[in-house]
Amino acid sequence: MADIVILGAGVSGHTAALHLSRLLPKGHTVTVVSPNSQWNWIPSNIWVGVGKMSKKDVVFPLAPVYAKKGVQFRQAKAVGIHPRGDAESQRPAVDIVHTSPARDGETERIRYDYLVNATGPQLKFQMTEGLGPHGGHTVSVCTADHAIEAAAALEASIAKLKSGQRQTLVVGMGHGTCTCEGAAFEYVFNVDHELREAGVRDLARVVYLTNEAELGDFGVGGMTFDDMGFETSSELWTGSLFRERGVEAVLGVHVTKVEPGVVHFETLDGQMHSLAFDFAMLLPPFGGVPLAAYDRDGSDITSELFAPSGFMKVDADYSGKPYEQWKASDWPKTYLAQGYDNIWAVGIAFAPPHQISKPRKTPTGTMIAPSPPRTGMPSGVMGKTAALSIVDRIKHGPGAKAHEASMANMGAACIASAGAGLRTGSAAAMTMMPIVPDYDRYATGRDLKDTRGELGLSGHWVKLMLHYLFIHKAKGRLGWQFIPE
Amino acid sequence: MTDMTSTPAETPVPVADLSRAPLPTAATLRKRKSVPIQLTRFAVFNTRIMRMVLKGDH
Repeated sequence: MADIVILGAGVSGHTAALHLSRLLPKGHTVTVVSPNSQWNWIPSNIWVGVGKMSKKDVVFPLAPVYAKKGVQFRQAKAVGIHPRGDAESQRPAVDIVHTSPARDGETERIRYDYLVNATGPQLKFQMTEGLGPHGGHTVSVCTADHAIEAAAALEASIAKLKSGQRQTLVVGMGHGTCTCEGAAFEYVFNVDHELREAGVRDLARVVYLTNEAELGDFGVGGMTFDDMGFETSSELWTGSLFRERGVEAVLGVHVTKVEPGVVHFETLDGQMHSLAFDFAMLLPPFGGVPLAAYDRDGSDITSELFAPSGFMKVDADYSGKPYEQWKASDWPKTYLAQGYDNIWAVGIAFAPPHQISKPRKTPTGTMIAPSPPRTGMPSGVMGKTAALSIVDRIKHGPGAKAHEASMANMGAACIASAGAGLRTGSAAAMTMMPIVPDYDRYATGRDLKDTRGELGLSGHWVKLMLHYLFIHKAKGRLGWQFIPE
Repeated sequence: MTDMTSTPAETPVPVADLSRAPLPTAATLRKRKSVPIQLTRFAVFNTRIMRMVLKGDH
């Protein structure tokens, strides 16, 4: 009988847990360790952040779902891995610290046969002085609670606009190495929609502050679309939307500091700028969660398992070759940790081998490089892939071939949807196939048949549909397994 | 290309020049809200997602 431990209950970890509980015979244990008691459908935090949805619409308690599925749940954070066991046992283990009110601070060592690291991101607001809702001067939509604060701040700005006061609203990235530009893009689209709905758009200046060197980069180096028989770029497509909506874009930005009502930043040309704001939603850079690794004798082997960023090294090419030389084949396929055939790192937890967007430096040496996105659809697919590999190894022996799901052979949809209701919303909807461009297979890096961008009400319907479908799936309700990741 | 726009209280910020980005025509804006057209687009978009799922490493 095998013991499987999953660190994290986000999209990838939760997906892995559901599939393992479905596919494994009785007798094996699946234990999920997550510091949060609730599951959060993060894409819909955007709607919470403009007051269109409440927190209860985007979260639900994990414990009842795991109880129903026979999965053990520890509300705790993982702090250490012993991949070769410890002085007491050769069986590997993880150290956790409980975070539930009943057991807060209690430590526990859990033995495992298979480990899935799906710890997600550490929100590193501290990398930019004054950034974020925890003692900083900006809001965020990274968590449902952050989004509630953002909605309140936006409402206050709209109230001032209604009283005739001009307002500057800034949305974007709080550091030069941020990822998830798509989320900031969606949020600015929603803010613009709310301002128009409130009838105050003409009094508001809306600024999109981004680390992307070009609009429409989205951390994936942009996309080429087939539009009526012509190749067009996501840059032109996104620029059109910004122009139509009157949203100002400031590109190639590294935010250096935020003071009350003022954001300071450097641009790619090395110039320093300041922008006064009344409302600012700036996303933080991501890092791996603090997780150390130890050998049997207790010596620290963290650098063996993790990259300096805190993300886990997997079956990718980390040789550090120049950006111009990277290949789609450098990207991981199995997500097995380097040197271990029983540890997987999925979702944001794995270390990308390199940027997809071209990394740039300012003349002063500041790195401005959007990090590769690996949330949403790819996260779920990776979680399922790890689960299938574990199931095969348990059923057919440790030599069973690991399942593969490379981001260079995986598609994704990104839908920036605004508004509520079936007739009043709108959306900018994109699909890309594959996420990591493969120039050996496609002249433009991606399959033009499936790499598309379109604007309209239908994207809004898709986003609403995905909201309800994925929450249905995450609750493990009837037929959940037939809903693709 | 950038132009410099700011309010007097701010240091100028380099706002991207989007004046060459195409604007949608009135017909395009109507199509984006047309329920019959958007129902078709909805079906097409979902078909594309399913095609990606079926042919990729999903």
